[in-house]
Amino acid sequence: MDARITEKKGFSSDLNRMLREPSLVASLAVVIVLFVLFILYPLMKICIEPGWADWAEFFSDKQFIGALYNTILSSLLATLTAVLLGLGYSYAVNYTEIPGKAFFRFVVLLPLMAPSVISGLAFIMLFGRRGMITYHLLGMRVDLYGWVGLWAVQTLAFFPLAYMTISGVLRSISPNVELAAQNLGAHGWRLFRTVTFPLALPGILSAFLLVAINAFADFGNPILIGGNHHMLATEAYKQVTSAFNMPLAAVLSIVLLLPTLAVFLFQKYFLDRRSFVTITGKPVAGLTRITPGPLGSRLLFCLCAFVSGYILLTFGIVVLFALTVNFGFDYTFTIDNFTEVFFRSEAMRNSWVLSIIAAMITTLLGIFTAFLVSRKSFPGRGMVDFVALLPIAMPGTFMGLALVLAFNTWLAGTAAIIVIGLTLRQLPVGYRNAISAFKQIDKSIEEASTNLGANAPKTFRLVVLPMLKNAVSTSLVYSFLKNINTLSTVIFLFSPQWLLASYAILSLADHGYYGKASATALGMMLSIIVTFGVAKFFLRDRIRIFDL
Amino acid sequence: MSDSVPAVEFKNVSKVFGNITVINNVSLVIPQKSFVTFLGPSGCGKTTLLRMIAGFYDCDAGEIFIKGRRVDPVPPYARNTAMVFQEYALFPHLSVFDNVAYGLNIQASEGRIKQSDIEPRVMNALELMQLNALRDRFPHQMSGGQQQRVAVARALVMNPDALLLDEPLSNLDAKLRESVRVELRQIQKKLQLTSIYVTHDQQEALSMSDMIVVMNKGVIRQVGSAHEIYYKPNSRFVADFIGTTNLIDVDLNGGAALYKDVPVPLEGAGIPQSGSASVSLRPESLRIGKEKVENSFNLEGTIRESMFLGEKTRYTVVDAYGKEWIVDSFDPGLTVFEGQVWLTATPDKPHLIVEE
Repeated sequence: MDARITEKKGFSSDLNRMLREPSLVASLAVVIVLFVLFILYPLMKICIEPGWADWAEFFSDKQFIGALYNTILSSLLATLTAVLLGLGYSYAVNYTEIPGKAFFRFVVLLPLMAPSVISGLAFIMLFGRRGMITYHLLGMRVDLYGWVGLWAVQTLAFFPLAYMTISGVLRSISPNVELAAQNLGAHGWRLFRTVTFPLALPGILSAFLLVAINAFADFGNPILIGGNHHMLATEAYKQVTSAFNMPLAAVLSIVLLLPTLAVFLFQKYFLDRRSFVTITGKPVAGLTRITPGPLGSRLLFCLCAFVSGYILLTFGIVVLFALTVNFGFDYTFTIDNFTEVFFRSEAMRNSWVLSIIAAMITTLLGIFTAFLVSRKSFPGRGMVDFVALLPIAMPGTFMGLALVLAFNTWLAGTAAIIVIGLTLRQLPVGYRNAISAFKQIDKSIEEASTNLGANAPKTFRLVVLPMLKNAVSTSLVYSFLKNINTLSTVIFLFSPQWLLASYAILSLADHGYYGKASATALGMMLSIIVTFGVAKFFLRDRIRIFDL
Repeated sequence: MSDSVPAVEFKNVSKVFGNITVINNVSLVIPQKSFVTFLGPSGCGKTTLLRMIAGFYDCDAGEIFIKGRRVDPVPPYARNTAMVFQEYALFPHLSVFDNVAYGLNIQASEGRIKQSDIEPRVMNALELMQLNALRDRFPHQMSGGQQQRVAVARALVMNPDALLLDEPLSNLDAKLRESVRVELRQIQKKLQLTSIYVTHDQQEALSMSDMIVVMNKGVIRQVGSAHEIYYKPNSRFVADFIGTTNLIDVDLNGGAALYKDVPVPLEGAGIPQSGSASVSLRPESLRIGKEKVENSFNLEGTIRESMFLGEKTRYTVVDAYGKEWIVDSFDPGLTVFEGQVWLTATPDKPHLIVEE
């Protein structure tokens, strides 16, 4: 035995190992077929749709180049302000003893439960040409449509997302580290600058990227508030719905994909490897960290009060519009708007049913894929991981258009295509959640199951799923929320037979039916809350709704 | 299946991680119904070897057989080699009963055993490990010792071809460890179960095993009974790793050994005529005294330190050549030696180690 023995690894040994487990081959085949059919094939379709002429048209038309410029600029602007607000707000909520903390914490969750167009809708009703504040209260004749309005609306629309992400990061910083810094004499601004901020920086950056992707892909607010401020997503929509120019719409969507894809790749291959936020030591129970001085606390309180005041104003105006005949002109109380929305339109029911179905599929597929990727070795594992995360980089409109181009002939107008779109859109979240849950579960528990005779699918069903209860419920809740509230993903996918509530808001608002639009938005929030309540009752388990 | 077929057999097995050879051309036969221990310092490859039996690692070369069946191409779930994990790896969402029934439930779902056999077999295993009262508890409601018993019961109930134990006692406190050690050995004998035990604790290995496999750097250094390993180590490594010993270099000349100028009387045949070798002398094999002893190994030295340990006093003695000797004097009473002493050993005590 002189020949040097080397480790059997790489493609062929992975393949050998895989072929020994028929159940693994079958599971993998299912996942790969699904990915190829519903992610890669549509991606390819949309890429080959436009010809050179369409690309040439895009680059020679000033309006499109302008749209690209607008999209990048206003998205970055809104992202920056949303992240700054989110940082201040989450710092105030986690690091100070300002009064009303519980209230601030609650208020910021409201927008997460509402369709994102609600902020655009409320903005029109508050500050539009006939806005309650600008026109009725102040008698101003201003036109805030365009980039300024959009900036304000998107900032507030995406602020909760920034807040959630940064808050999670701040909470994961061990208080011991900050206590150590205080023990060495640091406090107030210096403590924040030298310890808290550097530790939170990677998290803040990833919040920035997350918000940026969402802002780039935002569709509802630009179409409501954008006015003459053309954006890529809305231009693509116009090409599909009024010019019927699919190739050009594909070009616009691909251009929209590029910045989000860049952000995604940057995050996946650069940021994730550099994160140094680690949870060190045991969290000290009952320890509150009060770090800013009195002046800082007061400033932070003002910030929180302002932001949450605005959020309440948003929801207040929506409620008022929904419950009156024509708010601003006719203040008669009515529930007609609600009865119309709930009983004369199927949009609400459709949204609810399809969102639930898609959330279930997403959760199961995400966890199963995560199981295969994090626990099994097979050739192409890295590829599966990449493809499972890819949809996060795809703006909703892009994905919708790709699916339409790929499946128009046999799925057009069906509920199936909507479910596919919603499922794919949230797959990365469910998947990533599950991957991090797997990291926390000792691998030997699954080895024990294998050792006792269970193959991969059995181990998954009997041991993995039950242990991932939290990841399952988080993923279910989060995808349901996102599914029911999304507009951009479904804008090309819904059909007259399958009208959806989020689109109903847009079209009602576009036609000036603010009362009905408001009632629809509130109705969706109500149905979400009722759904959670029922789920909580039946599961008895504490559902962790906002622990993402 | 006759008992003469080995329970487990390795044939020229190697395992490489990256460019580190973790298991280097290992061949080993583990007889049925025996209690075998893989012993070695951390990183010696003992756990890797155990996990290769279970199928958690593939062989990069060689073959593994379980009861004559070649298993290295068999997936881990089809090997019937129930394992007790170091961290127990109990299923946190299942009760004690369901944890133990887990493997049987799978066999029943595949039609290999009857559903009605499960409960009596589980109860049997629980009884054996004295867990009857805890059958409805969940892992987080139990102490470490109890969890460990569940882990053992869960493996025993499978009636495995080989029971694999990966340092199962390392998370228990010293007292408990000792009692579980005795208990495990009793159960193993009662059930006539081939057991393969991984540990770095030589006390555990010596007290439990029919056969000890001493490993270092991916290579088996010695295979033998506890007595052989302790009293007849085949290498300086084994002599040094098992227990405490005094190792000296000796020159061989015409069947006699010489430590510097001091003759080392040896017993037994097969002493090479010339060359150099090592001699191992255990601290308890040396006597300490003020006088020389006839027909014995006699070495003069100075006591540098003495440590009273209750049942013995441990002396550190330095000889004329600067070497430190460790000598145990049992049942010392109030006797305390000081200054110049003679270390002596009868010819049956020194063990000659001849290595290439």
